[in-house]
Amino acid sequence: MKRLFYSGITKVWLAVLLLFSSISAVSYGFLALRAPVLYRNTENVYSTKWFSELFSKYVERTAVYVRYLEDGYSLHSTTLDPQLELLLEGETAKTDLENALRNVYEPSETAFYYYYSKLNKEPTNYQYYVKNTETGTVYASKDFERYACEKSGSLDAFLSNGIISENLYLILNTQNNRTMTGGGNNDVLNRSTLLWSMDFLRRPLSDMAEDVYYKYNYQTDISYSNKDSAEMSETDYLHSVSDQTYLDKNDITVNESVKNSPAGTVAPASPPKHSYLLYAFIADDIAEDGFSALSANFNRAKEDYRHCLKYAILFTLTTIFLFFCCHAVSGRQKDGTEIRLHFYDRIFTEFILAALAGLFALPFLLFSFLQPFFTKFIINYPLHSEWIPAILGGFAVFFILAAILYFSLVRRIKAGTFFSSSLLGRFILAPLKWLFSLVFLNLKEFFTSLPTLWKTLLQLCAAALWLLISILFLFDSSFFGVLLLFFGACFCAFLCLRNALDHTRIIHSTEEMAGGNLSARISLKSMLPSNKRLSEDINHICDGLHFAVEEQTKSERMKTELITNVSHDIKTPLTSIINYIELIKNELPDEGTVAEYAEILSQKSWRLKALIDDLVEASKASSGTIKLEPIRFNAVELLRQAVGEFEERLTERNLKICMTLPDTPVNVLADGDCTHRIIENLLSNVCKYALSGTRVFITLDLPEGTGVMLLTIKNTSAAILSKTPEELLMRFSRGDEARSDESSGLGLSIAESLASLQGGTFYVETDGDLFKAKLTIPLAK
Amino acid sequence: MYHILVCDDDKEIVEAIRIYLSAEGYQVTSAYNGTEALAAIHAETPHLAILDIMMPELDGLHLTKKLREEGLTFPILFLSAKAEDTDKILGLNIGADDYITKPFRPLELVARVKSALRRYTTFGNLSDEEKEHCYTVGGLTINDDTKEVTVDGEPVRLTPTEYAMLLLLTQNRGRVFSTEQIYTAIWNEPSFGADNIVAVHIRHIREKIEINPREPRYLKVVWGLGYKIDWQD
Repeated sequence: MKRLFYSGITKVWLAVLLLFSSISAVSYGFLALRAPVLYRNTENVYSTKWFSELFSKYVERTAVYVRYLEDGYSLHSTTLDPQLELLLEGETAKTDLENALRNVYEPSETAFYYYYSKLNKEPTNYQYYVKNTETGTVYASKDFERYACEKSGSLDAFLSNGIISENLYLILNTQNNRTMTGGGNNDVLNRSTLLWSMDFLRRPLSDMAEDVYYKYNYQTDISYSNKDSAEMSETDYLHSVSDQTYLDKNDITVNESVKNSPAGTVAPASPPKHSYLLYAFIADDIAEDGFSALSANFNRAKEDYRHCLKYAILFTLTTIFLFFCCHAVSGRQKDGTEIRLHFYDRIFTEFILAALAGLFALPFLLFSFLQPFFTKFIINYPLHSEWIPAILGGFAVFFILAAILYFSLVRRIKAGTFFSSSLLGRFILAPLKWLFSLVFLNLKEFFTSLPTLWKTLLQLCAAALWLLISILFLFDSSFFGVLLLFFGACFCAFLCLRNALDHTRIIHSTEEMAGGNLSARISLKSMLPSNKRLSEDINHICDGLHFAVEEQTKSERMKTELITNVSHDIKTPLTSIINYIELIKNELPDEGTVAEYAEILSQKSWRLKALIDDLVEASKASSGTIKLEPIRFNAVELLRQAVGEFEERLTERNLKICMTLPDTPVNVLADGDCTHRIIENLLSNVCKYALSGTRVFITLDLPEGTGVMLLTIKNTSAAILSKTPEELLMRFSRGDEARSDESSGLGLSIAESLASLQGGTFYVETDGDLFKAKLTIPLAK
Repeated sequence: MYHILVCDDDKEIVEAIRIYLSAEGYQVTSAYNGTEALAAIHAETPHLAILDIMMPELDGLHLTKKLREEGLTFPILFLSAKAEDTDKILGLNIGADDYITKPFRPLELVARVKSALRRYTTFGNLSDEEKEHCYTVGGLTINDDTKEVTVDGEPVRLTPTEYAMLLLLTQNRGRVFSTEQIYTAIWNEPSFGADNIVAVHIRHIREKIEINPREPRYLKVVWGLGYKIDWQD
């Protein structure tokens, strides 16, 4: 799972998805932002700026046209100026007619015809219905009634209800200056235009005066008059309107009631002479004209907005999610641990930062330079489809570059090379660090290489200097002197304490080592440098010792193993030898030379067995492979038992035992069997080597303050004791050189090994013929 | 006529043992490895088996374990050159009745065989009445009514002091008596003298009731603490 997450394929997919998602988010976001411009973000009011502007223009025309009709102009009485016809057909010619058209306040047949032709000559989606409420005269589009009946059944029903459901509608009442357009949106229709229209409707043409017109400052006509009307097509007009302002705050009024609105102040001074009701709306399907295209665009924009907003949110969230995913995987190896840097991750960080800043600054720069273009672009609809790939491509390039640069920074931070790969880090921080460490290390090395005496002197000098400075400051009765003295004292105390702690640790550990625990080591953690060196040396000595002892124990153990195995292999043939000698002895007569020989063979084969047993025991005792089970027992009891075992043999040798034992039990902590073995060996030696007819002294003492019991066995040797005590204790060393007796020469050696194994000591002394064996065993606590 | 199986990979040792046991009137079957011994035992169950521990194919320990698992209860004597205490304890725990180390004295081997056989064939056939004042530890029986001591059915002659000591220890089987306690119990007076008389008597008793006094099976010495009567089943 982890491997999959950090694999290269995942990274590629994440990058592609991030690109796609971010471009989508921006595109839809742009469209969503743009859509409210198209219809001001309420669902009920379906308008666009220029849609409404055009509508307003038509309302104006309607007002003028109706005024003409009311003033008695009639189509039949009008003869069409051929030049006007040419103008209307789109032919360009600069005539006096232009002036006539420009000034609506000078009524003319031509103007009337112009308005007529705009409103009624061709079938149009703009439908109007004007009623003079006083006279009841109705002026309406040709198709209005038919359309109304189709939609709502009757004209009245349509006027009261049905018209509201049309895309864009307007109801004007000149009597009370009330207007009503779809929805209640503020700038659907230009308020001043509507006021102008109402004003126009109310008065006869003759009442109209140019000054009144200009007093109202109707912007639409200013633009109209600025342009060459002969060349002006419908689209051009719309563009010119849009270019000026599409959001004139002064014009925004709530159109329900003019009385409450600030625009009411601009109401005409003279009371209304006529009251009219004007109904106008844009139908969908009456004709194929500019309005139908605009309606279609408008509807599309409405749909677009819903989707765009939805998708913009969706893609923005996706982009954020993917962005964090990319964060997680960026630079990681397949196992998710190490950070791998690309070649461009080693470019100086500053360059990357600058490039990133430039990249983000670019759109703003572009925007400020091309603001007119952008304004136009955002407002104009439909979007020019040939621009889309270029825009998306631009975004893609922007995002790819931004992502490469940004994730390079992310990887640096992850790998911890953000500063080290920067110009600042490499050329300023790193050299400083290097310089510092160089100076510091050299000083340190110099100081540590000084002999201890010099070092101490230097330290003392420093301390003295410090003290001197402090005292100087003190003479100045400055608080700084007290501070210096205090910190100096603190530092000295700290050093002394540290030194004492280190020494305690060293002494503790070395004591342990000296006590035989060769695996003990001095902990070097947070020691003063000088003490650390000493401790390291001690540890090394102990290491060597430990190794040597281990080696020796190992070889000793191997020797024991070898001896045990060999003894086992010797014993099997020895069994046969012993058995068959016995058989021979059984076959032979009891007396005779051969019987004697057989007897010797028998004895010697048993001697061999004893020798092997002793050898195994000696090697085990000296290598420490014997398992000891120390118990608390009475040494006096043991001595009695052991001597009792030898009673007969001693009597045979005519030896008399003189025992001096304490009356109270002597409790020792040792292995009973081993201790008995020591005493048995000693008594056995006594039986073998003591001069017949002499006394054997056995004493048990408790030397004060030693915590051990001391057993001494003294006897007079039969042979001359020509050997030193050390020689006697060696293996295979015996009292006589001839080796004719039954001893193996291992008894004392075994005794010594067993004694030391139990924490006791064993040694022998000779004094002329006097042989003394001394054994100490620790007392039980 | 008892039937004894002897098994050792050393043919000479088997032959020597056969000679000794035949002289005592036993019928001896020889085997030279564990598998042969097992086959011989399956062919005819012996009254006793002497097995070497280290044998090819099937060693003595595994063979014993197998025989005991089969429900065969005849005595088994181990014969081994391994003299370690741990080896002995392991052998006895696995179901052997005795453990003889090589090299051994032929007569000792014969004595141990006899002891084991007697224990096996006559053990526990005393009447309830007799048991009233009878103390039994392993093959050692003391009849306090008749003052008779037998080891594996063989009567043993003891002096009155020895008898009293043995009785004291047997009555308190497993308990360790120090020389002082024994002295006080037998002579009814405190042992002021630093004497080793008790030890000497104990040694005499061991010589009478034990096959090998140096490796006692009943009267054991606990060095430094005293003596006790015990028997390892």
